[in-house]
Amino acid sequence: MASSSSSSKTGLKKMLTLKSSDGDEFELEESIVIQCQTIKHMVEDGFSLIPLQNVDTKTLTKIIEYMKKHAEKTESNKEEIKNFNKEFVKGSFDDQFELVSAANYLHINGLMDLLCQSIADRINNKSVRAVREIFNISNDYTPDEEEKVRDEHKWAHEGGEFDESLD
Amino acid sequence: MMKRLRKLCDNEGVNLSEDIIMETLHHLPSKSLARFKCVSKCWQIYIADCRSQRWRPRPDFIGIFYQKRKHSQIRFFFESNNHNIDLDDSVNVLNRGVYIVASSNGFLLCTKHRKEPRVYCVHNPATRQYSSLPKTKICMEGDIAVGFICKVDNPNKDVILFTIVRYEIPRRWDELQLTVTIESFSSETNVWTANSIIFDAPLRLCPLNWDITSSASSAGVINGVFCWLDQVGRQITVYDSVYKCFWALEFPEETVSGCRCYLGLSGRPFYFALNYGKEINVWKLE
Repeated sequence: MASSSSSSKTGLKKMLTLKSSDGDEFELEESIVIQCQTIKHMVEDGFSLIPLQNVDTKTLTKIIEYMKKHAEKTESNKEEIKNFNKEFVKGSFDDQFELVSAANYLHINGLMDLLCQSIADRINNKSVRAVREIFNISNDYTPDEEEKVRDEHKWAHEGGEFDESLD
Repeated sequence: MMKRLRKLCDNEGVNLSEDIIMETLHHLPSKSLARFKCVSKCWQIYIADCRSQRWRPRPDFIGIFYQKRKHSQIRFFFESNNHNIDLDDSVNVLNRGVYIVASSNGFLLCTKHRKEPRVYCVHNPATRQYSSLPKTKICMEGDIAVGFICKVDNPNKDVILFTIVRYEIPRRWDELQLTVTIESFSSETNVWTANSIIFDAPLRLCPLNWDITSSASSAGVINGVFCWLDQVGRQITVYDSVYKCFWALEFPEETVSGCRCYLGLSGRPFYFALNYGKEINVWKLE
């Protein structure tokens, strides 16, 4: 990428500082951080200290872990990255929601994809009621309206029990 | 501990933004999407939007359904990444093993009976939806040539349109035939209709496979024209469902005789391609 050319010339790795909403600072190589489109644009605008008001320390730590691992991606460690991703999405729904919101805000496309797929896989077999709970959605249908929507797609509600658990 | 408590409180109001919810819904199979329309009015709107985008052509989803031996798993082979997925699970809704008779645009035409099938069902492996069709009018005892074309009519309402066409291979297939009875089913009318066609010139209706033990192959369909490769008779039998006519196209003389070949179709004008392993012959129908 264009912005890394300056570091190779000087032999020094250009460092950036990310600051979480809790005030914690993390120093990272620019080459790692530019996976994140939002930061990449700020770097191009000349910033080297980047405050992230929407990302707390816990979430930022996880995201940095992800970016570091994925910066190491080569042809030969595909399997390793795959296992890393598998472990990475193991948290609770709330943890994943925090992460996905941060990934969306930071524009890390690979991480967005990974998290959305993981959330989708986890809710795929859930009941409608469980999904409402998990996403904190209140049911705004009247019972009649809900019945009507259900009737339109009867087949989708058939075929075994759906998972009522919230994890 | 304090930190954890604070965290829980924060999360009371975790509300994902619209674009994140949409992005997540995009990763769900259609069946779950249809079910989650019940979650809330907002979700119903998101899902309608999701589904309207879902039926865009997906070049990365080009592949074939296949089934090994009888009653075994139905799988899908992705041409793009040499990757197989098992559809075994989704076919379980049909309660017992089924045979794939034909496939079209991601939908499968299946039957439970290998011999004299009279009950077919159309199955969507992606959504696990299936619909059983009424019993056919005719009982065909011999080999059956089947054609199946299915397309999505209205993605918002899960409406699909499909047509099935079948005809029987006579037991004495070496004899010349003067007529053929085409039995066809359209999802629009939901009935089977039989239609006898008298040939302009007598022709042979041969089994569609060298290997008599394997079931007859299904038709390639293009613009309502069903084409069956008849390896034994070295011809392609053609049924035009629009003009209700039937004829046979003999292989060009220069084609290699005696070896297995495969048929590829492309429209319009019609191009036929026969693959003989080492070479592919393409010719144009005028």
